Amino acid sequence: MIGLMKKDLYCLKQYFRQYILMVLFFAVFGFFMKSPSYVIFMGMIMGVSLMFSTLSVDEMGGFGFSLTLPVSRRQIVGSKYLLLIVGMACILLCSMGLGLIIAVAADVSYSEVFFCTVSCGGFYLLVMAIVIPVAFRWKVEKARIVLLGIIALPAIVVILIFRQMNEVQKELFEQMVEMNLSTIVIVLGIVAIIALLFSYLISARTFEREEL
Amino acid sequence: MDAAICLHNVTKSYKDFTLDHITLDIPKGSIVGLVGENGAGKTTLLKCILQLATPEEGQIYIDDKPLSQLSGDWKNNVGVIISGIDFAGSMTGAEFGKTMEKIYENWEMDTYQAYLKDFKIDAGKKIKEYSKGMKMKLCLALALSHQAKILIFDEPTSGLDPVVRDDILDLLLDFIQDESHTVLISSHIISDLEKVADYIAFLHEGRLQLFMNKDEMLDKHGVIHCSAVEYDQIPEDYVKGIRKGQFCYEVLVSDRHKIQRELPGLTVDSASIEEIILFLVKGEKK
Repeated sequence: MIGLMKKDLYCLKQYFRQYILMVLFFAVFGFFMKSPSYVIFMGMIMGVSLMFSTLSVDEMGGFGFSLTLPVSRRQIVGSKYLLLIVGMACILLCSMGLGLIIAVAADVSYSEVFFCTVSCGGFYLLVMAIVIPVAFRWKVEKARIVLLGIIALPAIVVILIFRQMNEVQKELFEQMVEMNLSTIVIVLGIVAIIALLFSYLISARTFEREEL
Repeated sequence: MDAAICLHNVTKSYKDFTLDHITLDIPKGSIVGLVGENGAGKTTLLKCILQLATPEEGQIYIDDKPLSQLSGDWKNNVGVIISGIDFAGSMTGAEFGKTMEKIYENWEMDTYQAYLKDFKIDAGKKIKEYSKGMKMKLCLALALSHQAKILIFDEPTSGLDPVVRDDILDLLLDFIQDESHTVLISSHIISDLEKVADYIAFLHEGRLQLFMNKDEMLDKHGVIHCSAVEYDQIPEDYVKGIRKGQFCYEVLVSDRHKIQRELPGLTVDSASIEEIILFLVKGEKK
């Protein structure tokens, strides 16, 4: 599994410099906006795109090659999920670090940085839990469309709900969210982990039946 | 005959193609050349052996053990060239070796580096900057650096210049010096197989038309150039294919020495593997 992850990391190497430059650019932007959440969120979005890059590389012949190696199909799928988790941890740690620097410099509450990091992590896992099995079953291009849907649909629903609310309702809703922040984060985390487990099982089953 | 790979009634169907009940023993210590036109089923057959495709029927055995009962570890003993390494274009040859070190149980980094040096491959250069021949040589270095006992190559010499092709074939001949080693190689370039193969397996439209020792195949088959009247004298059982020209018939026969004895008036020329295959595919039947 380590060998497979190493292969993915070497293949991704070409994107790393680009990735770091983009995150630094977003950090500068976030600093002027006084918004550490911005850099954390954008870091996560870039992380999603990196994960897509590794799946694209595998689709271009990497899977066929991996199957000629002494590894099982489940190990190939497992290495993707492991890369996803390790990648997410690295990305969130880096963007949280940048977020904290911005928070100190711009005098913003640290709690915003932590809340944003954890919720972005949960959201990232949740999104990838849906998208990876789609990529294994219907290829990366279709998974990209699904990804757009996953991000756009909840945003549209939230906007529509907010439009229907009056000022009092909005204030009540925001207060409710603030009071239950920790509960929301814990629930999101648990849902993300369960989703990821199911996602792995679905992907492994799909890939075991895949003919190359 | 001890078989390294044994296929028994292997059948794999796609929408417009069927690999049809292939039964074939790949003898240990030999090079078996798989030939056939495009779409004949060569790659499908290799994919079935490598578990990239699952046959609907039949059984495949590796060293007498059913493939379905083997764990993924058996591929530690196999060197494969089937899909190319273009996906790994951003890696260098050295990084590729480091990756494989973590994957193969018996990886020999020294051997790999020695091959890179022999092949004049710059280990620090990205794979996408390698020429086609260099990429193929890198694949060979990979296949030969983990103590593989079986090599399975799909068109390894395709699109390469004669010098590189010759280098690759020499390596295969070196590899087979160890009698426990086996090579299964598919190729369109029949002259390459003529040089190295011990056996020829000929696939046509998903069926195994012929599997024979190469020397026996070349010794037994012959081509007769004759008139229509002379052609009628040739026993039907020996005729494998005919090409009818305006003035002359060309007939591929299966037991040329016997024909020569029975019909001394006819001249039976030896046939190359390419001629035999062309007759079998395009020739008319008696």
